Amino acid sequence: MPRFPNGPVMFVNPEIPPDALPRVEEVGWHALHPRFVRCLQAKKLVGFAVVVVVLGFAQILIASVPQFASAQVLFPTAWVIAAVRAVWSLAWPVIEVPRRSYAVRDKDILYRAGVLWRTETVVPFNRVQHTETGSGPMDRRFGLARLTVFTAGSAVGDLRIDGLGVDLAEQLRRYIVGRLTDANHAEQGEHAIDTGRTGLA
Amino acid sequence: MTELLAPASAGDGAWRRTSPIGVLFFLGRALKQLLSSFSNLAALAAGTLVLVKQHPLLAVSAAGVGVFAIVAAAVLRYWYFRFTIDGERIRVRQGVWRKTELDLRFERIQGINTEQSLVFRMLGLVTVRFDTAGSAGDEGALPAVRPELVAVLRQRIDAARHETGTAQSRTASRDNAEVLVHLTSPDLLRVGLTDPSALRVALLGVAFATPFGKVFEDAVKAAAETIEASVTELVDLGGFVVAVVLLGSLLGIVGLFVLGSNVAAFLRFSDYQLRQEDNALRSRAGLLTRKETVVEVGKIQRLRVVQGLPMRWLGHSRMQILAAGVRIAQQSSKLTVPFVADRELADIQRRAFAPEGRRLETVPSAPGYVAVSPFAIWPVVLWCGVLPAGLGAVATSILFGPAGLWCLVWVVAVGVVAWQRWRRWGYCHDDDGMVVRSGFLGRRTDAFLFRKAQYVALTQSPLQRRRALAGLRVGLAAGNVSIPFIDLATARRLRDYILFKAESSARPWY
Repeated sequence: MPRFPNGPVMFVNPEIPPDALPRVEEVGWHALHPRFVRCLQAKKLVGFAVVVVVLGFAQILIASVPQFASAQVLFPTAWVIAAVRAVWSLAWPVIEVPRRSYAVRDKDILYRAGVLWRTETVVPFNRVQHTETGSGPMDRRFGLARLTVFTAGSAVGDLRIDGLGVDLAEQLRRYIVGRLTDANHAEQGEHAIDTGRTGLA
Repeated sequence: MTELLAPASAGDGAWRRTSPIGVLFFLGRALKQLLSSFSNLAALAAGTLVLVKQHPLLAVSAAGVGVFAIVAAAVLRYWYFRFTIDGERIRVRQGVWRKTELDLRFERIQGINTEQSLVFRMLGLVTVRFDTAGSAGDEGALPAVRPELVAVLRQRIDAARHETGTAQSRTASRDNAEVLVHLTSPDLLRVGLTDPSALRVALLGVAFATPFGKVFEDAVKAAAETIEASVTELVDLGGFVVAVVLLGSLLGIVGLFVLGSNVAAFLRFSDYQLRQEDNALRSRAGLLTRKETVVEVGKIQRLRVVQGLPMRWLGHSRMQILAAGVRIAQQSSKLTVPFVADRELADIQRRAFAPEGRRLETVPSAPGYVAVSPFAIWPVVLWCGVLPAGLGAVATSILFGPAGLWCLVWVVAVGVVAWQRWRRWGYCHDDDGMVVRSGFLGRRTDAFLFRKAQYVALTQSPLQRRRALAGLRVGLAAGNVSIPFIDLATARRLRDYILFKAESSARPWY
C-alpha cells in the first residue's frame, strides 16, 4: 500500500473566512414542551406538601406539650417562609422555563438556559460518546422525558435537556445516534484515503 | 519458566504465567491492601498489643500464620494470573476464588506504561500498565515480564492501530529517540527546592510561629519575672536563648520539609529523561522504582504549564502532558516534566501539536497574550469583598461602634487580589489552537487544539450581558478550559470557529 512521504497529503483543509462560518445566533431555537412548567410546579408542590405535613405535625406536637409553649412563636414565621417559598416555586418555572431552549443543526446540538446567569452549550455530534433518555415518575405522568448527551469531556453528561415530549426525546436520541454513525463513517472513510487505502475498511 | 517468556513465542496465543518474581508484585499489592485500610491497621495493632501482653508465644505464632497467609495468597494469586497475547488482543485471567478475565483489544489500548522496582531492575523485569481510555485500573497490569515482551506488545498495538486507521501518520517526525529534556542532579535539587508544597508548609510554619513565638517569649519572660532573678542580663539571655531555640526549631522544621521534598524529587525524577520516539513522547525516571510513561502525540489533549513564583525566579516551569481521560488532580498516568526551560517548553509544545499550532505560545511569560476585560475584577470584589465586608462592618459596628468600619479594609485586599488575578488572565490563539493563561502569584497556561474540543459553552452573567461580554468554556477530554470576560462578539466568533474546527476535522481526536 502506497504511503505518502509527508503526512496526510490527501487531507484537504480549505480556508474559510471567519465571517462565512455558520453562526449559532442565527439558529431557530425551540421551546420545551408546554406541559413542562406544570410538571415542575407539580414536583415543587409535592415537596411543599411534605413540608406542610411536617410543619403541621410539629406544631400539633409542640402545642400538646406545655413545656414547649415558648417555641410556638416560631411557627408563624415558619409558615410565612413556607408560603413565600411555595409561591416562589410556583412562579419560578413560569419565568425560567421559557428561557430554556434547544436547537439541532446538521452537525451539533445546542441548548441554552438561565435567567440571570445564562449558558449556551454546543456539543458536536462527532464528539458524542453516548446518549440517554430518562424520566422520573412525575415526568411520566406528564408524558415528558429528558435527554442527556455524554461526551468524553465529563462523566456527568455535558448537555441535558429536561422537559421534552417522550416521543421527541426518543426521536432526538435516534437522530443523534444516526448522526454519530454517519460522522464515524465519514471519519473512517477519510482515514482510509489518508493512509493511502481506497474504500472503507 | 523463562523460556516461556521468550519474545519469539510471546505472541502464539498460549496461556502463560509471568516470571515467578511476579510473586513479589502480588506480595506488595497484598501488603498495600492490608495497610491501606485504617480499620485493618487498627485491628492489627490492637491484636498485636493484646497478644504480646497476654500470650507472647501465641503472638509469635499468630504473626507467623499471618505472614504465611499473606505469602500464600500472593503465591496463589501469582499462580492463577495468566495471560495470552494473540494478533489483536491481550487477555488476562486472574483470581483465586473470584475469577476475572480482562480482554483488551490492542486498538483500544492508548499506551503502555512500565514500572521497574529496584528488584525487578536487577533481574531485568518490568511491570506493564495498560493505559485505556476507560480505566482498567490495577487489573490492567502485567507484573514481572521481560522487556522483550513489552517491545512485542508495542509492536502489536502499533500494527493494530494502523490496520484500523486510527493512528496518525507516523511521518510527522522521523527522529528516532530524540532526547528533549534531561535532568541532572542540580536540576532535581531545584525541583525539590521549588516544590510548592514545601514552600507552602514553610510559609505556614512562619505564619504560625510568629504569634506563637511571642506567646512563648512572653511566657518565659513572665516566668523569669516571677522568679525575680536579680540579674537582668539573665532575663535578656533567657529571652535570647528562647529566640534562638525557636528560630532553630522553626528552621529545622522547614529544613525537614525541604529535605523531604528534595528526597521525593530525587526518588521520583532521578535520571529524568523525556524523549520523542517515533510518534510518542516518553518519560523515564525514578531512583528506586523506575517508571516509564508514554503518551502518543496524536492523543495529547491538553498541555498544562505551571510556573510558581520560585520556578519563575529560576526561569523554568513544570509541564503536564495530558491524554484523554486524565484529570489534573490525578497523580498517575499523566506525563509530567518537572523542570523545563522556556526554550524546551516551546519545543515540546511544537512537537505535541505538530503539524498544527505552530504559532501558539505556551510559555507563561510570552508577551503575546490578549488580556481579558477588566470587568473580571468586579464580581470578585462584589461577592468576595463588598458583600462579606459590608455585612461584617454592619454587624461589628452594632457591637463595637465605628471601629467596625475597619472591616471595609477587606474590600481593598480582595480588590488587590482580584486585580492581580485579572493581570494573569489572558489568551492567545492561532488557526489551530489556543492557550489560556491564569494564576495569582505564579502563572499557569493551558494549551489545546480546537479540533479536540468536546463541547463549547458560552456563559453570561447579568453584568457581562450589560457590558456585551461573555465567558467561554471549552470542554476537553482532559478537563475543561475557560476564559472569563471576553468581548461577546469575539467569544461568539471563537465558539463558532472552534465548532467549525471540531466538526469539520476528519482526524480522530483521541
